[in-house]
Amino acid sequence: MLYLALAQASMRKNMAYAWAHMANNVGSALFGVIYIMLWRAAAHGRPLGAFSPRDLESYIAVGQVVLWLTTFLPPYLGIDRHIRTGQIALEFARPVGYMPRVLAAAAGEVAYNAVFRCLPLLAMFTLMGVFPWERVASPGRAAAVAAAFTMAAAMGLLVQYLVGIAGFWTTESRWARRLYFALAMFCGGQLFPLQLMPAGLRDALTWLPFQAMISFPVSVWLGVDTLPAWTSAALWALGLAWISARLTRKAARRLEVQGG
Amino acid sequence: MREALKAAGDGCRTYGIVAASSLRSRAAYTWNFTLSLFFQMLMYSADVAALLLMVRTAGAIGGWGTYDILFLSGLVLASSGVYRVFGSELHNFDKYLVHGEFDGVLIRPAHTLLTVAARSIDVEQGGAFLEGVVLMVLAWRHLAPDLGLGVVDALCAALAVACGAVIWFAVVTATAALGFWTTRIDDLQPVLLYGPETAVSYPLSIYPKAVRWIFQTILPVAFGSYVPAAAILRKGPPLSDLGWCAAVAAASFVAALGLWNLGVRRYTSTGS
Amino acid sequence: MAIIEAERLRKVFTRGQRLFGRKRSDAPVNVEAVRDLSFRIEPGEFVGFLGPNGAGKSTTIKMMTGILHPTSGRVTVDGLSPQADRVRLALRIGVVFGQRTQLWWDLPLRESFRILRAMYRVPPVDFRRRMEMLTELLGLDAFMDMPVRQLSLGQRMRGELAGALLHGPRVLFLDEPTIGLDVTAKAALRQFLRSLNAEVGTTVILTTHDMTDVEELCQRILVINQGTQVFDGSLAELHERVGMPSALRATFREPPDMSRLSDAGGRRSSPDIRVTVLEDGRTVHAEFNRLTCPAPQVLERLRAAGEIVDFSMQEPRLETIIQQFY
Repeated sequence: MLYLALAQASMRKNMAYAWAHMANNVGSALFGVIYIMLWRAAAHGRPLGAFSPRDLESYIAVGQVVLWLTTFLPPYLGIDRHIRTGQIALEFARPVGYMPRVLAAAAGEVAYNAVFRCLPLLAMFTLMGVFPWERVASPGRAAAVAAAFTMAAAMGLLVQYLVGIAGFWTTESRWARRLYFALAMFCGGQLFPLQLMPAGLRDALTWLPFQAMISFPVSVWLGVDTLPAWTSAALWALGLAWISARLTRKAARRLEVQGG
Repeated sequence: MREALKAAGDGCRTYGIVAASSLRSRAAYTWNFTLSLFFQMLMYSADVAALLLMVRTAGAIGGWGTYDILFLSGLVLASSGVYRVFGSELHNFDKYLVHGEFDGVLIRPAHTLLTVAARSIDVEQGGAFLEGVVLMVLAWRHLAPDLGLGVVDALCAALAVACGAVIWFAVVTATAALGFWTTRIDDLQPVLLYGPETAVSYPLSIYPKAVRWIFQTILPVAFGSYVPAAAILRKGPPLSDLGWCAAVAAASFVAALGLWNLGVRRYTSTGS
Repeated sequence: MAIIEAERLRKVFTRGQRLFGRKRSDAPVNVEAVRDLSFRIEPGEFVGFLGPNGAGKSTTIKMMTGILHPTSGRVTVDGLSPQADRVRLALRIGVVFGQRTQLWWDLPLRESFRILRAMYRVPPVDFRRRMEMLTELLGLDAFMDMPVRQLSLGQRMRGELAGALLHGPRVLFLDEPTIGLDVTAKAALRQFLRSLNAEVGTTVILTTHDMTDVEELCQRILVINQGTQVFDGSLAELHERVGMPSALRATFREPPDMSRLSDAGGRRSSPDIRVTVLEDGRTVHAEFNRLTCPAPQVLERLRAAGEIVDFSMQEPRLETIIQQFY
């Protein structure tokens, strides 16, 4: 299987840096702990909306893990580099489609993150007693969580792919990526859950793509998911896949006409 | 001693010229510059928005209300924003050690730290500072009538920003200095710099004792954030505590400078 | 009085010793980069430091400029110790690294000079006078207001030189200044360095891999190998010692008949010409010593092997000369 091989290769490439990443994990864990302390102080033992004080801490813990699967991915999946160096022409000429190949390689990165970023975080949050394992007790819940996480990871990859392939028509700004992170964190409800937002804001954000990458998978884990959240995530995933495929075809045609 | 003071004076003058030149050459691209500042402020605003929603929902955090926290976050953003502009070379010190560019620093007739800092000043990173000041002013306008804040308090707030700036500069310098031993610092920065920056944007009282202790001793960033903010916002400690903050700021800079000098000595004897 | 004095200079690096050691199995190894190096350089000399990569010439330059501290031994430049008096010495020397810029990347060249003027405390009168001279000699006018990152390598190197000379240093250290430059840029640079040395009297220390740099510029040559000095003398003396290794390439119409090479009675190489036939079978690479056997004579002899349709002289390679010392 070509795609499996691609995913394995990119996972192995990352293994070389495992120790440096471990040092970085300490930083990531630190942020998780800060936000948990913040909620602990904010909730002050009272429930807020549909969330118990422990839920709020769990929300942050699951969210920190999810971020490594959906948001902290290689910038633009390396497509920008392909375009800049002109390598893209070569990549398009290969017999196997560009988009599935890039996505397969990126899936390998996600798998690497799952093992070397998420597992250490999981272990730490479990030791702190804030990871809500009990919420996925039944096989039904487990299946829902698996589906939601897969959709979320796919969304994360597709967003990076889309921005990457859009590089054919746009120029990179120094701030684009950092601004994207800031918006993704807020609109995705990383610190403040969508469920607790004023109704109008909550409904608006539910139909933006960002919720599918943080708020949606976390909510499914905690069992506070809603039908609109599922619908929005599914529609966006399909929509992004469709747009990405179209743009890839357009880019290929552009390459043929202009010769790169 | 006089010689050293004169050298420091010359170094600062050089630094001033670099700053002015950077600003001039950036200002030539007015549109880009403005846009970049706007993007940054939008970015920091998104973080602040989440925090504000949180305080609004919870009522208060650790006894600090919405505007108290707005003031504290603004203070941290403004003071740490200073190193993003003026310490951008120290912040990105990796390149000096990985590509051996530090050699070029040692041939200059000024202290190595000044020479590095004067290599470039990143005016475009001014967004954090601006956003911080805006947040502080917003909070001030709301809090001043109730707390009876006056001119003295405003001066104290300015002093707090200055103390914070010096302390953050010291942390950035010390982290860069560690690079003389570890070569790479980008893995250290999340733990020593970005994490603490986020942590002290919220009231220190919400953390366990050990964490509070760390931020008040070995990594004394609380003295540029929580401690002065608590004094200015009448949370108990007297305004005179700002004297302590200034002392800690000076001491932490001296300590960072010592570590830096030690690192330079290691570099000149090993060349790596 | 000598302007640079080095006495029994020694530098030992310890490799494989790190705070967070990556290869724990390897014991730290001491590498002696420079050992027992002594020399004196008089004011106004133009000295070339030659040697293969890793011979210790960069380490020596770094010890003379205060970048590295010697493990033992003593060095003084203009009466100052580069280690104890780094800052004071920095005001009296100029340093140019061929591969790195010391100008301000994002600022116009002119701004770099303004910054350096403040940094080196150059009095306004001196600054104006030197700036005028350097601008004229190096032709800086055309790109004075361009950001350094937009300059071509040749333009940038001219800017680097001006930057290193603004404060009127007594000694100029140049580490491979001509690397990567095209032929015209190299020639212009050499012309400038020659007049700087002759007219202003600046002492120049140069490292290079370019034999033409050495031949056109250096009055004195120091060859360093494995951390010690193996030669110290003039270019003429160097040639006396190792000859003038040269090479040419000749292409024959038909594959040459090497057995007909004259003089040595059919031997493929005579003692002063070493001949190798390249892969295409028609091109011949001949190495010879120009002192004992000039190029026309070499061609004459090669002609015996067949009709030559083309030939070219090869740049004399510094490595070839240096190799004679191993």
